[in-house]
Amino acid sequence: MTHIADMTTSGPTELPTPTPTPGRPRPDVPDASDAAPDGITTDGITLAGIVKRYGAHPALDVPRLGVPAGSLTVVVGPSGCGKSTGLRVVAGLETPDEGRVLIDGTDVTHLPPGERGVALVFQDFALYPHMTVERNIDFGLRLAARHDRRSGPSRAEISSRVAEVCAMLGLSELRRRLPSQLSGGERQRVGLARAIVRRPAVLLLDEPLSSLDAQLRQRARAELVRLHRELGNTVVLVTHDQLEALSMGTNLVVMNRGRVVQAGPPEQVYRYPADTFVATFLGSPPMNLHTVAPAGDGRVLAGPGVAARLPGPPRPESGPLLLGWRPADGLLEPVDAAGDGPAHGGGGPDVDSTAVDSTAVAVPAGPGVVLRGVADVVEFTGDGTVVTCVSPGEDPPWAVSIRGRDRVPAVGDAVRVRVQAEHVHLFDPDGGLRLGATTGRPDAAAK
Amino acid sequence: MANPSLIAGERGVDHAPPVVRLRDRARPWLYLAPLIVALVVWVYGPLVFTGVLSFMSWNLTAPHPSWLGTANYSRLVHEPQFPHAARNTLVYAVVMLPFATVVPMALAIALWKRPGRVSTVYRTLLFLPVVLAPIATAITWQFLLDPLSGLVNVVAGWFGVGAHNWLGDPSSALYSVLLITSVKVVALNVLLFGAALANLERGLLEAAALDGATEWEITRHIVLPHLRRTVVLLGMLSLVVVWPWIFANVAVLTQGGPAGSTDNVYYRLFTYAFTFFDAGTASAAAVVITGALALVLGLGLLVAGRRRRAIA
Repeated sequence: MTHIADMTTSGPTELPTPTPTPGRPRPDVPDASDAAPDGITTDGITLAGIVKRYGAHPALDVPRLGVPAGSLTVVVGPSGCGKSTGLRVVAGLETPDEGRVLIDGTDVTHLPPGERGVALVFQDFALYPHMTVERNIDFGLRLAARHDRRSGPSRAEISSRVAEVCAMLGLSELRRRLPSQLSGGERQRVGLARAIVRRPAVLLLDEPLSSLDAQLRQRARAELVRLHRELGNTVVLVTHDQLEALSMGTNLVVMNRGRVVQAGPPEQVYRYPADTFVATFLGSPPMNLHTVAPAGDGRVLAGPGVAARLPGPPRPESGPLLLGWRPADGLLEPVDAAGDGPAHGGGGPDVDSTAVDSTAVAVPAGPGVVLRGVADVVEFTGDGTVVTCVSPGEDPPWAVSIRGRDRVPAVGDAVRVRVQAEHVHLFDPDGGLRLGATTGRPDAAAK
Repeated sequence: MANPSLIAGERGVDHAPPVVRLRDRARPWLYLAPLIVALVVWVYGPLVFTGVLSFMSWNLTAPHPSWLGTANYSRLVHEPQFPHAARNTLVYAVVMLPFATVVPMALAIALWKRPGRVSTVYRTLLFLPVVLAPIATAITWQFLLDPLSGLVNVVAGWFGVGAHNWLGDPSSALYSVLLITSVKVVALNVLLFGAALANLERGLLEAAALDGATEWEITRHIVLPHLRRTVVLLGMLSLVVVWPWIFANVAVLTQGGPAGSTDNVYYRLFTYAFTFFDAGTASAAAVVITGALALVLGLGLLVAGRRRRAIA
């Protein structure tokens, strides 16, 4: 069974829970009691019918999103997609215009930020500049002690908790310093310490790594993952960096234009992108997309410089489709200078001669995709090489990654690339939704 | 052959005629010259001249000054008016200080906490007194405080307070002048505190809110520490800039009276110079005032600097 026939993608607004929900969100706002049968656990964070508008346009429109308790959920999207707004709504720094926020089953929509059991690490850390590291960290605890002398933390408890987080984050030597006397990485650790010393049920991180330089970022990323493992609480991290998004989280939420486009485990989101936005946003270089039309018996798709033979039953569509594949899934094949065929012995057996039109590539005999083009830009990336190619016709250029020390074509060389059928993604050209293997409807609705 | 342009460039520097080199070196000083000339003529020259004059006797109607020694200074110390004026000046400074710091800070915070159109209107109205001419406002206050027909007494009458000669009574004249002047000081400093508050990072307030701080605790632990430097700066700055405003009010409203109750060292200096035409004594007073002010500001800066280091 091939991958295309086997796709089990989440719908655009589906929840990352074990039990799949119906693909389309319901228009009414569910409450916690009827949420549970739908698969929303009462633990973790639940956004229900949240809308936040700035002016006429909704900056955030999330009919339903669950963040499982104990997960490290990474929210990713381009700038202005609403991810930071969402984080601030959960923190209580923004009040949503509609909808409710639930944390561990409690409606916190109208609670002030300090009473939600939520801590936030700011992008620029927002350390109190006139307080020492120690005072920055224990500020919240001292306030809590003052507000509630009976059940608030005692002085001894405050100092032991501060000592504990300082030891955990390697800040013990820096306790008497002012923020201005710290490096960027140290400031970030102070920001983290201040957040976790209050033992929040939910830890929110707003682009925590973007203020760090590249070398430090790699280390901080690993430290954050380790910290999450040690604390075991719910962590939500917002980033615009797709690499952070894929590598750090146990759960990934992709946002665009104020909406959640897809949510689920990172591997699932990467392998079965719900639409062309997710497909091209995650992964570097991004997924190649080609406009193709069904030809022949409906198992063959062809476009300028590309031809595909699909496994399984014929496609029901008659109009054009978008065919996608990741640059790393393309395999370079030798080309002979004269014609369309491969060079001697280079996978010749599975090519037949039923070309669809004059610019087209010969359709492969077995399942898979064959592309032809000319190498236009060759970029060495260290681990390998990215070759950007152009095909005849108006199609945008496409890229193929070549691993390690494999032979690299020179600029201007003819290039022939083969992609295996299980690495092929199909999308609806209107709206860009992922298509199921056998039906003409979007994949999510097919389920 | 090596790069010809490089060689040409080297030759240009090394073997330039002396006139050219001199011109290149003189160029920055030529640009600075107008300012230096102005400073020497209008600031440093008079400063030195005043210092020299303070040891001389010179009635401004006489053609030449004559050497006197330290008699001008001993006269300042021994005649009763100047020490009295100095004590009054201290009262002015001490009473003015809260109007330069606490009052405008509270107003600025209140305006900052409720941003919007109303706040903008208030801000504009509050700043207005600063741009009005000091003499014009002083004369307006003279009308307002007139014991017989002034608006202040009319309003006071509504509340059952009897007519009072605010500027004519030695017990109230000093405080009347102070309050009138403080309107301008408050107005200016509300603006400056507002500028300092605009620099306060929003994230700090949000972080404090997430730490569970109440609105008062945010003000107390985040906003006020942020304004600490501004308080020190404006406190000291006001001690320097407020005197021309006080002088204008005293000159127009009380001429130092009644019974010397609104007198101060600046008005005294003016009296020595332009009532008695005694340039020597006036110069000695100027030297004393400048020295005392420098001392106060120096101490203030020292204390502020030490506190900053203590916190670090």
